[in-house]
Amino acid sequence: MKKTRNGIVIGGSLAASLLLPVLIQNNYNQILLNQTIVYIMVALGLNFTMGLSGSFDFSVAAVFGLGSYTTALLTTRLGINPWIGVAAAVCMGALVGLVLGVPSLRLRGIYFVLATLGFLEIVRQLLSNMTWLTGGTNGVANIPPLEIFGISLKNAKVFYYVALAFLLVGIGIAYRIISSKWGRTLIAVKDNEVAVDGCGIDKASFKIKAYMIGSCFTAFAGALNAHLFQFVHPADFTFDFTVKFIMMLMLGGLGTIPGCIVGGMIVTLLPEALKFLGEYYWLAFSILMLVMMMFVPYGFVSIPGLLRKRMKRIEGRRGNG
Amino acid sequence: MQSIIQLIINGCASGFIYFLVAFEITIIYNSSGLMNFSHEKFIVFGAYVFGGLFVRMMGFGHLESVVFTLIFMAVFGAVVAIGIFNPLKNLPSNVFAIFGTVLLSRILTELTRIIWGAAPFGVNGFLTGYVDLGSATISKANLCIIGVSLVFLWGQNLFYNRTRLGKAMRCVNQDKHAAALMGIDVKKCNIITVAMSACVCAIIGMLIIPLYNVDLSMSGTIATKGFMSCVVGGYGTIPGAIAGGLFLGVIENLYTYFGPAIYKDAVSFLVFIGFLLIRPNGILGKVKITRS
Amino acid sequence: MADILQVQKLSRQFGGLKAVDQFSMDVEEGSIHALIGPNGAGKTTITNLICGEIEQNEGDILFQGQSLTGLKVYQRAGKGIGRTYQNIRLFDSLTVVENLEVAARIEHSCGMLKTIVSKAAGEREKKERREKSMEVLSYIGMEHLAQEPVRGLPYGNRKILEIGRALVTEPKLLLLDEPAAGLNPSERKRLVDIIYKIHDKGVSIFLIEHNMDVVMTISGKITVLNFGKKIAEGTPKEIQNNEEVIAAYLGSRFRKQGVEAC
Repeated sequence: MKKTRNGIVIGGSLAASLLLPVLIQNNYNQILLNQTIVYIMVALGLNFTMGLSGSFDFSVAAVFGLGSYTTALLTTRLGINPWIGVAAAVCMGALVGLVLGVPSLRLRGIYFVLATLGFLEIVRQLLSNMTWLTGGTNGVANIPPLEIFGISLKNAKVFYYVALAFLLVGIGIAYRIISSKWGRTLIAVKDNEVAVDGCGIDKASFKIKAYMIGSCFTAFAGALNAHLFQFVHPADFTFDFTVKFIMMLMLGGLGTIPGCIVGGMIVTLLPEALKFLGEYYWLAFSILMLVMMMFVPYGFVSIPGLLRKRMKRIEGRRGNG
Repeated sequence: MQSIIQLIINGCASGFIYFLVAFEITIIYNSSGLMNFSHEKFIVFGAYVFGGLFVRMMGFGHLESVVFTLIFMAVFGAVVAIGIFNPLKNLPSNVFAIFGTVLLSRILTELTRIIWGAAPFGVNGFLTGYVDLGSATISKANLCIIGVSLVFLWGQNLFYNRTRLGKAMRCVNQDKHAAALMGIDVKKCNIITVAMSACVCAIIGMLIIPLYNVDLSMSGTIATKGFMSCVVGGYGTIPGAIAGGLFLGVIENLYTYFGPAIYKDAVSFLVFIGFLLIRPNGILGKVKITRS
Repeated sequence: MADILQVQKLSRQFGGLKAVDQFSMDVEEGSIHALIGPNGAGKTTITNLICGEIEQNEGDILFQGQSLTGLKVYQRAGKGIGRTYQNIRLFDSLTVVENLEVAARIEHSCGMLKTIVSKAAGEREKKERREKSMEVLSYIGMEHLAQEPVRGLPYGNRKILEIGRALVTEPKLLLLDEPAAGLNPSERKRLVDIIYKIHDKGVSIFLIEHNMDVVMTISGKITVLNFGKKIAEGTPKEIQNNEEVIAAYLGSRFRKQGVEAC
């Protein structure tokens, strides 16, 4: 019964995501939707590191930015095929994952949080100060759009379907990893690192690989984003940008795939829905988040479970009385 | 070309600002284990309350405004501690608590922007002008930063070592359970700590007005450097905050004697990363022996 | 029989304190060997030295004749040294069976890429881990709790489960750090039964324990430690009658009651 219910949920959301662009006329909304997909991909990537291992990672914006810049520079300066640019961005992601994963073994708690913060700042400074390479604060413009079978992805609806296909593959990969020993062991590392060692598991290899694959996701999303907007700017990759993704995980549910998807949708779309509040919309959104986190820390995906528990308790009381 | 003495004095001034930031982070961390990522906005908020509320809207003189701002921020800190920090600490994981402070910082930014608008403004005649000291010309603002910080250092030393409350707080820092068993009201200590931290933030905010104007992003780099000073000096100790702050400030300013000033911030980042990788316990840090 | 573990003139200092001082000991293969001593004698330090959580200042540890010096904790565990901890260290967010699955040593372990690409390989690995874990769970009598979250387990079961988790790594030598601490008499009985069972499978057991009933019942050989130094070694009977041990640790009760205590 649980299986059929899951099937209905998955099938329903798939159908909805396929039909959505047909219903949307406005190009702005379509681009918003495209962005949502890109952001969900980042949330999936962040989920490997922050979601499973439970330590803060403020470097997402930097990884996203490096992915964007890799493909942007390769395609505009050297004129190579955008798809190769995207592939190069993924390789860049793996490299950055290695750079971040190694210190994550040595640095504990707060020190690692601060190290990721430092990494974010360094990348931002380099991107805006190394003018000869990155164009400095002018950013990189005129990035060519992606193309598939001769169809340009400049059309937002085409981009949507291609990105959706990538997202589905991404979800598949994330699901296989999380449900395998890789996901379990990462949770175990969070719970008790010493005991993982004692069980004969080389936790270093697990953590580094988690960082690498997570960063690949993020860098890939960054590259897609660069081709979607055909423009990158160093001022986009700030601390606030990182916070957006962490918010997705927190709001949706830390460590779960549905959590990433739900969180990604809410954080990208809810502010738009609140725009009728005028200049107060962002304030209202932030307050909503804070309250939500205080009362439902494990996010939206934990709500059905909490309700079920509450129901059971009420039934139990009835049974006793 | 600035003289070396001038650079060192200016370095000390930025160093002391970093120290104040590090101090304000450290006391909250010690008393409740919370990393307060909203401190940056506390600083901005303090500056706006001073410049925007008391000086511009209500038209008080500078000195009165300083006093009122400190009182205002202390109350504000206590409210935040009771309403937000305490519930956050009861959440199942520290990750939630840290993120709660990040959200709080967004809320504060929005509040400040809505109340006072996004355009930066200055406070006329507040700590402006220069003083000639032999060969060096030092801005009044920097002299004031150094003066206030020295008084502050002496004051906090007195507070933590001589007063009952200060001693109680040190107990809480070391062991919350034991302190509670000895009859210390841990909750009250935490609230007072946050209030104190908010006051320090306000002091920082007011001190840097002459340097950056009253602006929504006035404390961005300073806040990050404060975190870095904590690590460079030795996380979680007040002497560490002093050592780290001064070290970073002086190194950074001395560097401008040799290289282009746009990489000034990059230098402190390099120092910070170096310490993280080679000596994560900081300049004064001791290696902890843990018993499993 | 050969010695599975040889500790040779091991020393370790913490600052000025000599926690372990020129300590030597041989654990015979297939035996149950106990290490006892007053609090702070250095027992846990010795366990941590054997497992590699801390490095020795002097001396050497041989496991099956090979030196362990320089090997990391997980490498030593991979060679066949399983352990439990004095303060229980389980993976609290996982269920009982998942705790064992994480630790299980199996033949076909897939890399990350293979897990992503091949569904069949992933499923096979999962099944293999599950089977192995269930086998051990039934062995320690906890298969009915397999799907329970570890967080809610009572203390006694947590202790036993930790032993189970050490067992799925297929150890040749099992280090138990105070396995009976905090257990009630019936749980202690269950523990002793399980230790015997493990021993019968041919696993050598080295335990640190304060509960003399348990130690005197199951150990073949006992080493006594005081202030980081070995003060006696022998069979339970010899230890019970050793004047120095009585003075340092046991007290006079044990001389009179002897083995009947249990």
